[in-house]
Amino acid sequence: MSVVFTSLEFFVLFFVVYSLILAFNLKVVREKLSEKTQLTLKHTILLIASYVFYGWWDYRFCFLMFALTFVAWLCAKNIDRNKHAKLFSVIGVVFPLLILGFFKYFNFFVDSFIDVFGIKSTTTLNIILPVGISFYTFQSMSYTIDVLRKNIKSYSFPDVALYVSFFPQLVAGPIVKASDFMPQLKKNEPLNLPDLSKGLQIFAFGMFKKIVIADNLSVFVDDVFEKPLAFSSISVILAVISYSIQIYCDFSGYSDMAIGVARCLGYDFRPNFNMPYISKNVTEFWKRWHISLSSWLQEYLYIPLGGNRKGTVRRYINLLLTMVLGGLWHGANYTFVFWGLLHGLALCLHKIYLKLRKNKKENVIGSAISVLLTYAFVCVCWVFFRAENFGTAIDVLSKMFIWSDGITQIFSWSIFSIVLLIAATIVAVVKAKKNNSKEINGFYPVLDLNKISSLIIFFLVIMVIFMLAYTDSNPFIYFQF
Amino acid sequence: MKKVILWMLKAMIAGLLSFGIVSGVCFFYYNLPVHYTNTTGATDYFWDKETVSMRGTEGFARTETDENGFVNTYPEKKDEINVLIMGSSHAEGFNVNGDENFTYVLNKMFKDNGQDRYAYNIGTSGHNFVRCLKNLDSAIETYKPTEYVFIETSAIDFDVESLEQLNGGTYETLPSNNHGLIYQLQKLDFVRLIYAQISNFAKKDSTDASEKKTEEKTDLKQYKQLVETAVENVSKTAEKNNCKVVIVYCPKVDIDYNGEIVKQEFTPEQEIFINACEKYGVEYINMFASYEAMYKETNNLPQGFSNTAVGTGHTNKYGHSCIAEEIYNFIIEG
Repeated sequence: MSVVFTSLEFFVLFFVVYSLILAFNLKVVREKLSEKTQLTLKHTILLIASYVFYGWWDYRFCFLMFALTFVAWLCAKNIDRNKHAKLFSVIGVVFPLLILGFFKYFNFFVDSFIDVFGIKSTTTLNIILPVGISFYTFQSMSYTIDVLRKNIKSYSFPDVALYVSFFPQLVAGPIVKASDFMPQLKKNEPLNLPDLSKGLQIFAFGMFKKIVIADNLSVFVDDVFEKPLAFSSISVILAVISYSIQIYCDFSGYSDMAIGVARCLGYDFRPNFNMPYISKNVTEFWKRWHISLSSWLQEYLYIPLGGNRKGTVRRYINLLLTMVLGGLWHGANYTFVFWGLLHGLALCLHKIYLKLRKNKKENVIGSAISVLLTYAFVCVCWVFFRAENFGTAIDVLSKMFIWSDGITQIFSWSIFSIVLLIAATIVAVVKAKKNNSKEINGFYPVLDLNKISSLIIFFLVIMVIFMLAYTDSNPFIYFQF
Repeated sequence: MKKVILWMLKAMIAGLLSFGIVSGVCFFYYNLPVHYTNTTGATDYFWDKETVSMRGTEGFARTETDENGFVNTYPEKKDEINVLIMGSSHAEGFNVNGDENFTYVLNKMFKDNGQDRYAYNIGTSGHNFVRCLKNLDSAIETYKPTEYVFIETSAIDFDVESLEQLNGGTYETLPSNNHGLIYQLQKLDFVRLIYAQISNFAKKDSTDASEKKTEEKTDLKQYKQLVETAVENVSKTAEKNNCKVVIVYCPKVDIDYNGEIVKQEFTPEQEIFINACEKYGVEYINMFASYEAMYKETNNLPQGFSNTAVGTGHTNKYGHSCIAEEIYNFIIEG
């Protein structure tokens, strides 16, 4: 595994990187080195750190990342100069897809082929899936396409390498668009305390979500999905609800940590989650869940496929295709494909509903029912996402919908998490009302650490994280994608 | 500079206040007693005497220790001990309330059924089976049980080194830190919790190495000799003190995908122990069948809590109740 945010190795790496970059705050350094040299040195430090971060797991995959970077840089450079732009744009998109296809889907497609044609005695390759490959292949494609679309100019090789490998978001996102990140590389602002304070708080917030909530919930969720028929219906329902919270806290926790680390170093990443479980429909859910992926898919897949510009039927086909591929992106398994398909169908149905509905007024009860129904649908879909195979998914669903006995485990971490999530939602609703805002948005409770009361809260959060952290090994769910 | 010093001062005050607050919370969440060397040798150590402890890391439990530093909350105490309970944290009732551990339930069963018997629990965390055997003589001498000694164990296969030390009389007593800085730090619940968290975290990293170690093959001939010597010594001790020593094996119960109990199978090492018990007339209770029956009837497993995976970790209140019933029936049936 590459260096994990919750490991000692990461804290050491971060401390070293931060200290080195902090040296550029010194007056002597700023006076003696030109702006350009300073930037180059800073980026070099970050680039080396990023490769160390990634190579910690298996240094050989650094070469893979390097190759992807080189191709993206070469293609973008030629596209920018208008030299065989078409050819290079095809290479810039196809090469990362081939790499991703080989490492992630080769065995899946071979197995499927064998199953369909009933071929016996074949062997599959023993391919190790490089951690985070789905994220950095998408980023390298994003760079080439953004240059092709003239959203950005082409950049130097070290800058592209840093964009693809930047360690805060390298292995589990958020997927940062080149047009968002590259302009930030031009800034040469010294590290500052407000950024550090904000970054550390966002990091701690993410860490709480990950190692306190998600990891503790995983104990119950893993147990139930390992032997679903042993548990009573109420326990299985609670486990599915727990999984919905686990995956949210796991992934958004990682995103928060990534955003926090980047903030400390003076870089801005957009939020990747925005209270997804208060969505009133599936369309809204995808605007609140894994925002960086859904906007990537929309911008680089759905719209190029034709989006909604080629008639109603094509629009639905495009939607379905985008979601199915989005599902497949998560993993080489039919359960993921089916999960994507379910979401695609729901999105189509919602679009049809929007066309047909007459009463466009919203009321509180109607909205509450919509939120509950959307959440229930998302939970049912999570069953396919979490289950090892269709058989387990069906067993879990049958246990949920056909009342039966078994071990009744009312897991205390589940109750705690549900209460916490509801409380956080209420706070967000009250905050929105207070600000007279129609939109309910999640927020990072960033405090002013100059006040003693804020410092007490901050230290309490840190101490509570240490107190309640799940100490057994539990990698981030999205590392496998 | 002045600003930085002022901020650091604020941070120190805030840190101390936060520490005070979390320590208050830990009083209810992770408040464990300190242990002291037991000079009688009945156990390696005993807990703080007449102290309340609470923990929420595995289940939620509140227990009290008695005047000897053991968990015996049954209110009607007697001078004469008929049944002595030895064992580890499972026997102690580490993660169940004081009135849920099997010694308490057993005493209640005696009373409810008009039996003039009294069971006393010296089960203490960290006292594995080999350790209990080391302390058996002293325990009987100290508490003078008139009828039985029940030794609870969750394992009936042991490492060769421990057996060699036990038979050779060199098995070391667990040390207690009952003075100095570590003693004072143990009294700070939050510090103790963090220490436990770090230990767990470090243990996770060393799992691979210990797995490799257990994969090493045992010389069964040598092992058999060691186990037989240990069990023979138990038999002799029982005979010398005119009481019966009974070993209560409380295995972990696993369930499969369909919710069926996974059949119990013994390793050659475990079979050697069972045969040795039979050979030297040491009574042995295997809780597996009772656990299985309980699960079939109530869907409750003997281990696991509302904040852990089912069927793992310490014995829960259902398991304790089951053990108490089994011991009671064993005594009644003679």
